[in-house]
Amino acid sequence: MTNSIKLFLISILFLGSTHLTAIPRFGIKEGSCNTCHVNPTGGGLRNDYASLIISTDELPLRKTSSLIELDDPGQLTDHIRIGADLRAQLLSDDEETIMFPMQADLYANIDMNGLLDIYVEQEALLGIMEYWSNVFIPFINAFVKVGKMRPNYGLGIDDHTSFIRGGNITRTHGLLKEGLPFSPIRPTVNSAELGFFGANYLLTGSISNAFLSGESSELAFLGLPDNRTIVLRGEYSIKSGHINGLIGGSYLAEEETFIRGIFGGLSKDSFTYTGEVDLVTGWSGDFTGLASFSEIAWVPRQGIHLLLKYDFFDENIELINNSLSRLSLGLEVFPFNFMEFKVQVRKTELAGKGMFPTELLFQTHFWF
Amino acid sequence: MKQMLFALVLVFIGEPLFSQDVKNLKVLSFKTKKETMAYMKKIIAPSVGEKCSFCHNTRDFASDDNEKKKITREMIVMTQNMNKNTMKKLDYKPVTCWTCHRGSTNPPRGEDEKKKNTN
Repeated sequence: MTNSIKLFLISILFLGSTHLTAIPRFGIKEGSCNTCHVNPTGGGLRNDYASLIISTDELPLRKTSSLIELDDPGQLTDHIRIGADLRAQLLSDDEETIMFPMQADLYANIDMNGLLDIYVEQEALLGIMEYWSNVFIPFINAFVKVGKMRPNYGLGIDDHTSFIRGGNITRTHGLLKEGLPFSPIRPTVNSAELGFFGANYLLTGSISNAFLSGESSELAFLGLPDNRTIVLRGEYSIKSGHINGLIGGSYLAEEETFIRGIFGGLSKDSFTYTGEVDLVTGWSGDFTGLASFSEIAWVPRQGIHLLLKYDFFDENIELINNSLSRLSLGLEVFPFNFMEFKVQVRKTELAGKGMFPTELLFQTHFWF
Repeated sequence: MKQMLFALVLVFIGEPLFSQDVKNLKVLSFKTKKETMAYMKKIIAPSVGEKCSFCHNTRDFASDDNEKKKITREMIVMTQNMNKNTMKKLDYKPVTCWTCHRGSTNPPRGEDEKKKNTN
């Protein structure tokens, strides 16, 4: 095995990342996640509105975006849409500097006049595939999604190292668990999801085949009854003038593991706050842990986003000296409607042990 | 990957069986979603100085849940009637949303303008 292949494989495992989901602060500003994504619960392939309106007009720097403007290259025909997300990241701290591919996702969606969607997503770096069919029931504003996917829990933010997702995968800090189980390396599982939506709300409920413990039986669609994962989620959006808000709650149960939490956000003009708090029982031993995420984003001018984030994870809320906290300061620049550069400085502290070296991240992101 | 290619091939074959009609379009004559979006983006949104979410339910763009969408539709009818019944007969250039709105949801009224000018 050549050194470059070794480096590639180690890199994937190191911060390990393929599937990154949505950017909820955009969802708060726009009213919902499926404003921009073909998936009714958000994430993955972007829709025509995202390509023709948001990516083109509202996201990139005005002065550069007109130099190269792609007119929705993903819409192959009236019914077929493809897309991709490619990210690479450089990470540097006192000890090392590494660069690695972070995400290489390919998407395809077939839309039959808004009544039926067939969606396929190939997360190429780890070879994980997501696929589902989604039937809309227009008279009652409902949808039924069946396939292989991850359950829809919480905000599903793009940074998988946040403790409300999965935390760092191998670059850990000494705790038994350093985040919730929504890591991108956790495989998709057979699932069925039912959703109801209105102008201001989205309610979803799903049943999956052992999302946490690993799919128990491929032969039976939803596996053994004991291992089934139940997830319920609701969100409500509020709009008043130029203020947009979102509030919601989620619940997950599988065997002895229970996760419940609230999430939300508020956006006014160029500022957006996004937050989530979750309590988890039976994930790291028999304890109850807590994970939280808070982010303030400021857009001083179109195409430039400044972010301040605080992540917190307490493995056992009854003990001290077993909590992780991380403060991140970031800059995101969108020069074109298909390109993003991201710089982030972050500092992590383990209670009772002190601070870890400052990390510097530089990420490139291309999409269509 | 094989499944993805298989699905794509299936749909390319089935493509002609379905037509992508625009939904709930009552006063505009566009045939495709793309044409409609281009009109909204280039004409409506800049004229009133607002984003799409001002008038649309962003979970379902075709729905009439938002009252402002109904008002906009009435305004479009008003403009169409004005052009058909008055401007065309006078051989004047057609009026558009921008003629009055000038990038604002509340276009300046005569009395307001008069007050501004006298202050």
